[in-house]
Amino acid sequence: MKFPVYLVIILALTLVPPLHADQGSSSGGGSMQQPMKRLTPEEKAVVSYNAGLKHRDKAENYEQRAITETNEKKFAKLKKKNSKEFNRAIDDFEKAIKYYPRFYQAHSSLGYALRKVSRYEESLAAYNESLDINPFYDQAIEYRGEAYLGLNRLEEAKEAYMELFQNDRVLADKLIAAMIAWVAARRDDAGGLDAAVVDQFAEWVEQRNTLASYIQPMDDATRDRWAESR
Amino acid sequence: MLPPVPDTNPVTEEKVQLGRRLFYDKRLSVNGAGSCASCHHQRLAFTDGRSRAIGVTGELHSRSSMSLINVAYNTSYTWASRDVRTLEQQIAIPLFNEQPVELGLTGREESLIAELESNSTYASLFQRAFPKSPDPVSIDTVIKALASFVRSIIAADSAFDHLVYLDDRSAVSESAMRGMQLFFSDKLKCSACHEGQNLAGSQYLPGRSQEPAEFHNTGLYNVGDRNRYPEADPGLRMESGQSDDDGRFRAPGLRNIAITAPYMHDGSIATLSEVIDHYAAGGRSIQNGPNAGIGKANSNKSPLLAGFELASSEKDDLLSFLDSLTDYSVLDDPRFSKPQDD
Repeated sequence: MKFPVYLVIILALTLVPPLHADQGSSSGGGSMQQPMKRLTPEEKAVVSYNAGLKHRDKAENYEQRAITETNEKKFAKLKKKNSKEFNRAIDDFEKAIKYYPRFYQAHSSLGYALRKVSRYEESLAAYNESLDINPFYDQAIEYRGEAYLGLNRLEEAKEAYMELFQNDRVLADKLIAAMIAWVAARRDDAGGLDAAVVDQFAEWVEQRNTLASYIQPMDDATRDRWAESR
Repeated sequence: MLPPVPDTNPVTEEKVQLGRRLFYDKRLSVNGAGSCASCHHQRLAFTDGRSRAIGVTGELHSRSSMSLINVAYNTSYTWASRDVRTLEQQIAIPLFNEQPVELGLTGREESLIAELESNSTYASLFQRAFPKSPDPVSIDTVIKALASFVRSIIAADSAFDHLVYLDDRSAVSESAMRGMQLFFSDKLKCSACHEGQNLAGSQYLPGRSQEPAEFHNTGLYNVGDRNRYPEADPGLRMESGQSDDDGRFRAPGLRNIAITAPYMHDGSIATLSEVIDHYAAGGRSIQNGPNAGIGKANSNKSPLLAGFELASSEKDDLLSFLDSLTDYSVLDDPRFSKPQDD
């Protein structure tokens, strides 16, 4: 039986694996090269996303080291490295989104990295994109809450907290910790904000923090202290 | 936070509807004289207003009916048990208990199932609720349906909830706000036993995978000054046999507490105001009668109950706070009421 020519061509295209540009070039030694699977756009997106996360983690590591660094020169160097790594993370997250536009985690992580280099408005746009794709992605709600803080959009930050308070107490705690830090920073430098606005927000944060502590399980230290006090 | 649901009995709307019908059905008693609802009235936050529950044959229970609101979060059921850890286990108790008889179904299982199977409405409801079961009408499915209904009785619309979850500061009065601060204060330590979103002991809480069951002796009794509760109900000791478990009971949730009088495991305190007095005094003294003794001096009493001083205005504030825990909507929510066509 003779195969039609078009079937032979189709079979050839299907059975012969394509070579990747980055495939097997370093294996050496004359060993047989294993054909590599061509990555789908989604898989490429994941590769870029993971690379972005690595840069983000590096950036955060520099940030942590900078906090305790007392030498001014070393501090400046760490801050520079911190910023460089966040910018690399931004490139990777953007690449991931190009491969797979509905990658809501990548949009959210992009927003985070943008916020860390003080590109607040762009960061907000990235979080909004993430939440448009998945409105229940609490991580993006928390990130966006922190971005609102950075922009002094306090009512929206409060709304983000209340949403998290109902859905994810760990992230709600994280956001309120950021709010407490925001209040402390604005007490030092109001940054053009009216002191009364800061006071009012501080009062709200304190009350919310207290209410959260009321309905959280009592920690062992308090329990022990109460028992001992009797 | 959504309550936990056992893998062996996932909640479905069909099971909840079947459970609701069974909950109000007097066929679930030995003599047709009562149902689950006889001791759990919706209007009274699913309690019965009595000091101690009465079974369908007239036997007096040693304990009062507990509220069913938000019990889906419990990690332990009944007033005092380490063993009863699920609603499915708990529901078997009133159905089959013989000392005292509550609904009195022991020995009547087969006739109950036959009766339910022969009823076309029930046959269809069971089939819909348990479509994959080879035996859709059984004691097991009756219990699972009842548990699903009780699990669905969630109250989360009190003034307290509006404040805490909806950030509505106007929902709670100034007095209730002060009362709340007192409730959670070092001075009163109420939240040592009544904690979390349901202000309860022994419940699932965010941040804890499983809350251990906790029990407390609150110094209600010290019969004959022998560090004993009345022998009719020694609390956790009844289950464990351990003498230091004598008089230890679970701290119930305080949601809708203002309308579940009388209070304590045996309904021996009539009002919330008197409950506060009891805790302020650090225990109760009974001068005369078979239960005479100084509860405050009971050696099994929890160390947390040493008493406190409270001004009359502070007591009012505390009562206002406890009032703010009332979710009125659950008291006439049609989802929990007797089916109209029943």
